[in-house]
Amino acid sequence: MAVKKKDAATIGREIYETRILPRMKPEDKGKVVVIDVNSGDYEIGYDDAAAMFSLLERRPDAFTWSERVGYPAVHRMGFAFTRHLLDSDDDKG
Amino acid sequence: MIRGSVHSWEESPITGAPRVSITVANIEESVRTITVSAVVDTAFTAHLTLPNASIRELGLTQRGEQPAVLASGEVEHFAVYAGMMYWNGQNRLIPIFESNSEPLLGMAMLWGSRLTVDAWEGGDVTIEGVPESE
Repeated sequence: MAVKKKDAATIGREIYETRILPRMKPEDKGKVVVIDVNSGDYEIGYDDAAAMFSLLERRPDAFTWSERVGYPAVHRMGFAFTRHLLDSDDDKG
Repeated sequence: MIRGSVHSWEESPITGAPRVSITVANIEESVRTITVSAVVDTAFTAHLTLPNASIRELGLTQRGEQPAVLASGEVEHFAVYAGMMYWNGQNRLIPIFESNSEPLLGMAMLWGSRLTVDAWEGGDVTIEGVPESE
């Protein structure tokens, strides 16, 4: 059964922490892991767009969660005006 | 070469924002395109953000979520869509973040290009592909 979008972060993070992170080596720090939360299949690389599109080529129905090895987030959104204009998470289900 | 200009406070809530006009397409139905004015934001590390209205207009499918650190230090989860951008003569497949700010064009998109900004009102903005940099 397909993972619901609202669960993607929880399931994606669990796959990352239990199955992927233990295999990472120090030289993997900074790489992005793009995970299909439905199948557990993933791609890894410094270019997160390339990783995402090669995963989508192999798994056209993938719903992805991404992590950057050794960091709390994949990207930085440095733009201060953005914060108060964000959608709430409630309407993304 | 992509061209734009620096806008004044009166024209934009973002002081002196360098802006360029970009065209984004739906990958599955490449006839569906929109052209938007995007703020060139070198503090944004991904490719592009679009507001919900533009994503709906293009009919993009959500492909996942990604965590990003905001200026405040908080981590937010952003909905990620797949799209195609016409960029310096090429079609580039890119992830698009949904954010209801003005569209932001980030460093991942600029990578391999030369960005110049004449930082005064009405100043020129250019983004030029530099193949040997890649």
